Amino acid sequence: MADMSKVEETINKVIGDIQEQQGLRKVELENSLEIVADLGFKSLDIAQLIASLEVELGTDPFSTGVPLADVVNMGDLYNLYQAHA
Amino acid sequence: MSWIADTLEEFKDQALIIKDEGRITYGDVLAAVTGWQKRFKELGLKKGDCVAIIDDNSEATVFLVLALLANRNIVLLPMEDNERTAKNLEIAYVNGFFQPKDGDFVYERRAEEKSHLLLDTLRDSDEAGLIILTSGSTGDPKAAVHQFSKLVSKNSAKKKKSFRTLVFLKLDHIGGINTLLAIMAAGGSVVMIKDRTPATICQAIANHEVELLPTTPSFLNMLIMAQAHEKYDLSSLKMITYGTEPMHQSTLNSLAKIFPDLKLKQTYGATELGIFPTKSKGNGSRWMKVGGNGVETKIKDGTLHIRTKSVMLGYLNATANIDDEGWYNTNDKVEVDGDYLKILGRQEEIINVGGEKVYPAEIESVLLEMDNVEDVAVRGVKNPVVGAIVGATFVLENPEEKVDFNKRMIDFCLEKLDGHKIPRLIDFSDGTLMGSRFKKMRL
Repeated sequence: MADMSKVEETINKVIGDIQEQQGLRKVELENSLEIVADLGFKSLDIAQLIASLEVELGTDPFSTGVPLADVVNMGDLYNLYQAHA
Repeated sequence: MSWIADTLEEFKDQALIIKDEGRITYGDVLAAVTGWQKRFKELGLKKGDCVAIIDDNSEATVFLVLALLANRNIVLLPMEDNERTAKNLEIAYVNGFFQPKDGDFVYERRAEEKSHLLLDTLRDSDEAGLIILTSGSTGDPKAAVHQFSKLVSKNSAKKKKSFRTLVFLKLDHIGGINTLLAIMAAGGSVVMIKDRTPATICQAIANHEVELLPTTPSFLNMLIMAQAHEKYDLSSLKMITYGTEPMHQSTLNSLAKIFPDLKLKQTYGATELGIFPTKSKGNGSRWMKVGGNGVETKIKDGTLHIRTKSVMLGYLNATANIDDEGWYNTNDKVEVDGDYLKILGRQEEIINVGGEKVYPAEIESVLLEMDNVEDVAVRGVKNPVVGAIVGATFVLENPEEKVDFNKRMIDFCLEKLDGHKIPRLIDFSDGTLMGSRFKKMRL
């Protein structure tokens, strides 16, 4: 099992990069934060998030059949990538 | 009387356009169309003239398009003003164009001495026409010419029951114009929206009791992730149709779970052909039957060919891939199971980002203008949200930090490329990006 904090750290860094590149407001990342509603991510931002995480963490859980509907908030994202790390 | 005037008259007391601000009836639109036709005379705009509209997606544009078609003009579908506008007007042999000013339109004539055989054919037969631009692999768009009466004939064949429909695709797209004409033929209503965020669309569905949402797989993914169905009352929805890009099976599965009573239907179409409904094998299936109602299909070398009356007359600036017997080669690779088809994707190297076509060569040519870039190869990276995103591999002249370079690249591209064309995933290579025959290695 990979270190939980390492996965979280990577996810937070990738999200921070996207926020900066797209000029999005930075907010305190916490488990209950919703990716679309609270972070203001558009479809291309989420697409970039998944692609970048595949580069950084070497896994794309969605390619193994995990439905996008399973990921609504940051907590879902951390748990999903932790489980696939 | 024209099909447009007849239709507007027939349903004059019913609402054609529904917006937050109120309803616009078929009769209101007829009055606007009649008003325009008087103005065309004052402007010296004659039937047969080829006319462009430079505008976004307002209902005023809808009135103007309908008025021009009723006047038997050839209309270049509405487009946003951008760096390609002048080139597009030239490609379509446009005689004049409308653009918005102070809540109205101004008309400007354009000196065009040349014409094209296809446009002259329309004029000689007293037919209205539509020109729809589609991106070509060399970067210049291809201009597909349609005879308007052929596009609407499939709608007038039988009066179908109409659903209150949200206009998702804009009028610059064959899908947008198809939705409008199909709804008009049945005397139905369209709901128009200001932007295409999940919140706006769901609010409009709830407020105006939308029954049919024609959309794309990418948007449906957004809807699922935003959990919109829990936040808004979407119970009026009876059917979702989707097209323009391949659908992920996992998205279909999620939709079928969230909306168990909703009908999910795939559409199939192309700028060159028009849009057709299909019959799905089941609600959660990507297998579909195309054809019937005057649409014939055949598979040749694994590629779908279609023959239909609504096919374009041809391109203004390219050779049409239509054979002597009228079969149009869609270039879509398909898998076949009895009468059912599954679309596997396009043959060419087009990257389909959420239904928007992206050509690697166009992006590469912009990126090559950047400082410190020696070479670049652009490719599509498969993605569960939008189908594919744009990835780019750079060869730099001198080393540079990835974070800094990425920011610099985005700033550089913002003025030159639409947002969906700007690479979302970048990496660096030390070596060459060319293959043995000097063809760029993109994969």
